Amino acid sequence: MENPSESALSFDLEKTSAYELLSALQMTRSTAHPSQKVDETSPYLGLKLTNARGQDFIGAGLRDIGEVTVVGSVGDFAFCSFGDGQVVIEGNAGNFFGHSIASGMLVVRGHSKHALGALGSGGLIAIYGNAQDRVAVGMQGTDIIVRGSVANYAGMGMQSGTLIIGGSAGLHLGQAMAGGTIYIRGEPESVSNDVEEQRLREPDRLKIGMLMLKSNIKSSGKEFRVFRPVREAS
Amino acid sequence: MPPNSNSDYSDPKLANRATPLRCETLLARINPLLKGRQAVPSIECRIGCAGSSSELVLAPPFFTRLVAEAGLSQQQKRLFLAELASLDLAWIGDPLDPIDAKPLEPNVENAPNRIASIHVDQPVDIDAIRNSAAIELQMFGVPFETLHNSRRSRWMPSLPIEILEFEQLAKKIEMLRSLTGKKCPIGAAMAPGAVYEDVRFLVDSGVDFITLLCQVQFGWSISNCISLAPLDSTIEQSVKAIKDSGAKTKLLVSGNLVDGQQMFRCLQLGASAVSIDAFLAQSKPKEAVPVKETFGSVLSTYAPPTFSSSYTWLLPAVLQLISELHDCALYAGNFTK
Repeated sequence: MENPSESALSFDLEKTSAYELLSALQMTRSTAHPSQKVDETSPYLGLKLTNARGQDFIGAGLRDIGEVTVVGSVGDFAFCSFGDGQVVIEGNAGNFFGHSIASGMLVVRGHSKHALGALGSGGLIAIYGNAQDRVAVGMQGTDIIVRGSVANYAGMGMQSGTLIIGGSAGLHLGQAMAGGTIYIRGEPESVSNDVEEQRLREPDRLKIGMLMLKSNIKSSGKEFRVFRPVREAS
Repeated sequence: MPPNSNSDYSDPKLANRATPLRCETLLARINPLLKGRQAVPSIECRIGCAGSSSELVLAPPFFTRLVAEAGLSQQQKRLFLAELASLDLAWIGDPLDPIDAKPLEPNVENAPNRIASIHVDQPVDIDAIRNSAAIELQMFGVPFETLHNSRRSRWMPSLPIEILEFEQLAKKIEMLRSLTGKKCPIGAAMAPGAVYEDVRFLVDSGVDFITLLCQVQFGWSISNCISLAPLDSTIEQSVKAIKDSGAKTKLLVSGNLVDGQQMFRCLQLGASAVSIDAFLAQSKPKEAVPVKETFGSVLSTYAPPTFSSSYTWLLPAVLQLISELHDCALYAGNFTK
């Protein structure tokens, strides 16, 4: 396989808009459609986005892009509708980070603002810091790990997927939740009537351990509490 | 009737059509007398995209939601879309086939009149909105059974769960624009509730067009009717809200409009384009009345290519409708949009 450092592409986000980035990657890559097989020797293995200073919509619509490193922080709706790739953001993320994510993995080394992973249908999002309110709102299959704490309304309207919270949670944990699972290590300020606490079983521990391992976070998965909706969607 | 009796239409694309109309209309009779005078006003809808010079042109000012919502089979959709393409009518729905890898350029040849839809609480699908002429956010309740992969029979909410205020919706719209290179008009479909406030909310969020859904039903069951609000007052309130906002947002109307006169009245009240769904549903061929009257079953009589005599009713029906609309405009005199 080709050495990633030799094939790295770099875009300066101060000079490149989100659409220009999307067009540039699609124009030069012949395998842009997600149904097609990802070529591991593609020139985007090791894509680097520099000068990220909170610009909105960075990476929105990107798919099949291999490994991406973003130097700096991203703004609102970054990596919306993302799929099939691995992104590491070395700063913070704005509102609606990973909105509608379909697959792949997004890692944020800093913190995230509102509505992290909203309406996501697949993939994995890992936040090494904290997240503001409405984490995983309306989520439909994504796995989200927040190493720190989350604010109010975490897991609001979740339909499926997994939310792992390493710290504590704010008010109304699991409001209007219809499916999926919330694992939390700390204490929520309040828990919605729509969810109930269940006993942590071995499959839960395994799942937490696997997702933590994938996200490069050390944890045994033993100290978590489990919340699931009172009535699962039929 | 001679086959070219309708050859004097103002729309040159329809002039070469060989399909005869069922009856001669006022326009067909009077137009030869007015040749060269531009007597028949042009009725079309131009939806601009904020921040760019791109626009979607609906000429005639018709659109249909049936591809997305009538529960048609793939074969029915193909036949229906072929007819729509020959008439240059805009339609709302997802692409039938996987779209090839192409740059995000709207108005491409394969789907020049497709308006992509994004339902409430559904993820943004980049493949569905790719290569569309416009995008419409569905800001209204939808019964689950009409959606793909539906598991529950209940209504979805009208406001997306992740949106709390119009600034957030504005940001989402801006994001969709950025995905399409700011060349694609973004709209929203809403069912009348608090009409003035809802329209102001959408206009202030920056949509380019609003589709009002009045007295529209999924199938013909009253339990599936998404709104029973009266059409006239809803349009008037919407027009006032748009005027008060100072925006240039276009108003599209989907309602129980079954003939050209009713559609023309909507256009006079301030709508820019109207849906032909109800018209098509009541224009079904009498010789092939389905057992279960939904639009899907009506069109199923139209689908098999072996019954060549029964599956071509759509085209002349719409041509007659266009002619009726032009008749109304001609009769009304100085109608301009």
